[in-house]
Amino acid sequence: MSLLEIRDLDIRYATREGSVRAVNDLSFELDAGVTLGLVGESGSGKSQTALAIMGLLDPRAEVRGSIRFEGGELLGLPRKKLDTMRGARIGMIFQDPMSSLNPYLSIGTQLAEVLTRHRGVGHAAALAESARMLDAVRIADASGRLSQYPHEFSGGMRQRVTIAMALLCKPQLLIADEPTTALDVTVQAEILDLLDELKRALNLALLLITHDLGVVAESCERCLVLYAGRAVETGATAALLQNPVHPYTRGLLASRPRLDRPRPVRLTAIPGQPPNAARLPAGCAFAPRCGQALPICAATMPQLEAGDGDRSYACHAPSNAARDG
Amino acid sequence: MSASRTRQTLERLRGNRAAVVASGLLALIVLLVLFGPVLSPYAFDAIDFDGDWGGAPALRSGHFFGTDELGRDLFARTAYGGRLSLAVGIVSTFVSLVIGVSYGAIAGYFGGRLDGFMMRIVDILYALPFMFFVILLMVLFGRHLLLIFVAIGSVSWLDMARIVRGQTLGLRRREFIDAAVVSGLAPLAIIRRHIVPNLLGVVIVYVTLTIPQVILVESFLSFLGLGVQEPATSWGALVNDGARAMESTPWGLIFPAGFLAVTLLCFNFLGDALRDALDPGER
Repeated sequence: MSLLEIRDLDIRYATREGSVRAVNDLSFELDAGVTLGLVGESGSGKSQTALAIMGLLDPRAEVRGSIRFEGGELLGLPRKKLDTMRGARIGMIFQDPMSSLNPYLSIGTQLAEVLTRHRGVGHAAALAESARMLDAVRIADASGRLSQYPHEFSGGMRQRVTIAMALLCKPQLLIADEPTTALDVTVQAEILDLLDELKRALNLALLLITHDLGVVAESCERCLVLYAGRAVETGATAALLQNPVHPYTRGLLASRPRLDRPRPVRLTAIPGQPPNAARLPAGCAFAPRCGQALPICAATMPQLEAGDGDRSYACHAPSNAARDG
Repeated sequence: MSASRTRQTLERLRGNRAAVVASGLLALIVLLVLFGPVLSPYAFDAIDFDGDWGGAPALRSGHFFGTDELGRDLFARTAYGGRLSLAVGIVSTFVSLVIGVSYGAIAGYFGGRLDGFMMRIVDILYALPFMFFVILLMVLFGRHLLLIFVAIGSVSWLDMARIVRGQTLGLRRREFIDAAVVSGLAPLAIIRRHIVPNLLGVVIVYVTLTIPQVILVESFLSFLGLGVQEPATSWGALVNDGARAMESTPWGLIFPAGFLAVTLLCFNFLGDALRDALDPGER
């Protein structure tokens, strides 16, 4: 049994344009000590998946399928039960450290609050533990900074604080929703290193949501590529990036800016736009933009098939080189 | 609010000259209002029939602010009237603060049907004609000072609730609220610990607007004969009396109106400074 098991997750929103399908038929597993990168462009459903795990979805969302954590179902759990898990056994950090800390409360108060909530310890003990945690995320003079307010910290420091806050109760699972998007590249590397180190130290399962393939290559053992709310390819990161099977993954990799090649006039891009989630085609959602599309692609939805090793992909016309291994 | 936050706020207030002056003046006015009637040689409702000075302010006669047209000492009356005006202003505003903030924050945070239901109640109360409501209270419970507090308090929280709800709707979408939710905090704890502190700036500015408004509403009620009754008085009632005779006896208007204006100004300065001092990001 994996720590986190998601089966056939469907998230829909009823709108005037019809049913918007944010996540379709998504299944994956995550074990302790593993980092899984959820990759996709805006609107591919990666954040929706994270919010579904945390029970943060808009109440209007229609959710089907199953999200099991340590064997127990999370979907449909009453708020009180969920609140004993969130912050204690599952932690989450957000994209923008500037807005994910309360500007009106001191750092110490915000950190201690989590501990008093879940551990029932006193304020003083909670503050001491918070200082230890700030020290663990390498904030210098941790106990001195407890009384400071978020605006007195830099962006990278604030993200360290939010990481400390998410890990205070030593959770088994940490969800990081684009944790480095709002940060400078140099700070980004420090934060990713810190996450990686903490993951090893605490044997965390880390779900890292990103649109940055560089981040995936650097810190994820496994990765899952999403397109229009559907998993299109998944596998071990190194093999997947070296030898992508799905045309969308290939397109993503080809669109990266490269410094090691002569500079092209323009960046390569995937032609066309992502589909409207309210009017998804009957077949493969990527078919209209795909150079290798066959007649069957527009008509029938490709299912996720197992390939070499632990690779799976959903494509009727997978890239030859990879299919042959 | 933690002790260190309170200390920090006070330190910042001390650095703001306008706030220091305003709180000093307010303290003086409160002292005068509390002890003025005792200091004055005349009672607020005693008529001085010995009218050879013409009722004008004079130190010699002991009528520092002069007398009104009936020969009652204005200093004693201004101090006495200030008790009621300040009490109405502060108590009613406090009631509107407590009810309005909790009501608005709960409606805004939970949203959906609860929000709709709670705000329709506010709409209905808004639609009730205020005067009709006051007269109804008078008829039901008889004339009593307490009714002024009830009447004004029951109306002034409506604005506060709407403002707070609007602010909360915006705050609820911020990431730090999500961060609090994923930390496992219960909804009421989130409202208390994360929503309300962020509302303080707006709420305090609104409070400083409400105090003057409430004091003026009281004087309006008194003017209509629904508020405080002779011989008792308030600043609003004194201003009304004074305005009627301002050509012949201008002191009857100048002194109570001066106290009213200075008090309201001080509340405004203090509120403004408090808003700045409470904002931890203020540099």
